[in-house]
Amino acid sequence: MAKSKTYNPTNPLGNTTVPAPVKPVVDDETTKEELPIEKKDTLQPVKVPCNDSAIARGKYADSIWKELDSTGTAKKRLQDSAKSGKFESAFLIKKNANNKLEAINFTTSNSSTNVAPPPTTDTLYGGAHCHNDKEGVNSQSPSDFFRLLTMFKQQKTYKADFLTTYDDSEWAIMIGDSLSAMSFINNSNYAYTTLVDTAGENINSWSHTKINPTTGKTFFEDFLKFGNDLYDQNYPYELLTAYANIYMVNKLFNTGIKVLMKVGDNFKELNVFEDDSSGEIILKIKICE
Amino acid sequence: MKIAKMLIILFFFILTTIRGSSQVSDTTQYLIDSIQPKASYYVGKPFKILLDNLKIKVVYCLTIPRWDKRLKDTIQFSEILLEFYSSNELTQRMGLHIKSPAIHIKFSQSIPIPKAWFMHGGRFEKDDWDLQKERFFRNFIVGEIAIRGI
Repeated sequence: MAKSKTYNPTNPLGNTTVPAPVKPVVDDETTKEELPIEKKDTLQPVKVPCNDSAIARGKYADSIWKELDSTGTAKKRLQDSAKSGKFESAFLIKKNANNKLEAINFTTSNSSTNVAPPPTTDTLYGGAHCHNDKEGVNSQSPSDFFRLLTMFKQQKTYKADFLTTYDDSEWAIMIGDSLSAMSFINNSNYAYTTLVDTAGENINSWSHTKINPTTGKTFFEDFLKFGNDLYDQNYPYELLTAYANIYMVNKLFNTGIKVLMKVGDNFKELNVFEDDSSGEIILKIKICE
Repeated sequence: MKIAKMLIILFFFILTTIRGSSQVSDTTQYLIDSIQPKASYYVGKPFKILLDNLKIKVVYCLTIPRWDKRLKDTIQFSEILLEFYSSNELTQRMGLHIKSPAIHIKFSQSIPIPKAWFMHGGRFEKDDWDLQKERFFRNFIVGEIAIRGI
């Protein structure tokens, strides 16, 4: 599920009259001409060798995603919908009579922030959806992580959710640690409605109002802080949301979910790690190859 | 007479220096004791009233939202979080599950800021609280105040 349109002109204080946007205050320094924006080479994730589990997850994601090409057109329709559709589409993945993975229950919602294929009694191995709102995120939204966990709780074979987006990015999120996943989804402190805004202009975002008891800040502020740290380190702007979400699901909540990004023909696992080589602990991103 | 005048000037100089450098040893306690009870006083007034009264140094400022609003040239903001630790210190404290006190300000209206200001080379590129940010925000009207991270 993608985040909604980015700006909804409602007054945060609840008044019905929205004041006209103000012009930024001009001080002595603003009268100077703004300097041209400097372009820098962006920082890439640190490449590390994959452990056996990460290799297995990468191969599993690759095999599912590739097999869907041979058993129908749903994946192609999803990719087309991501690029030119108005509303989100999705499908579920099951095995057919020939023991091949195929897409079922392809559906397109009437929303750019939400989609849910019709339920089925089939044994499911995963699902896929798209984000086509170009003002929304080009990677998983918090709701997407919860969807995977919820489906996994119902069916232990449901271990992977794929995402294709308007800018051709493809992602997979997978259950990497079943015990952590179950522990997280059963923890009432981490209820979906606590961690994620489920209505309003920030729908599907980490909560802007609920306080994380560990940090004393809202969940969104924690997320934003890490994203800004990454931004300051010069990670690519378009991947900051994805990277910051990895911090949330791996480091902050230990959800047992692994995030894989498609690089070339293969899904590769991303993680956060603490780099103390400078004498200070800095959270960075690594990709296993 | 001249000496008396100089002494008076010196006295005021010392007084100003002492006030300016008055140390607050416990940031959390200071915010709880001195800012939280006066929160309603600051609401409806320019942000500079609070800034000028603060006896602790703001080090870092989280402008909410920032970079996740992806494609707009101008981003609307209505909230900031004033922090009293550096960015690295905050990240380390988060990792160690140590809370960091902060003042959350919700302004009474949206503030449009060009996205370019947050990009590399832009005037708000860094999250450090500095004179540029202070000058930019100080005249906006405070809508709500909350103490976070306590």
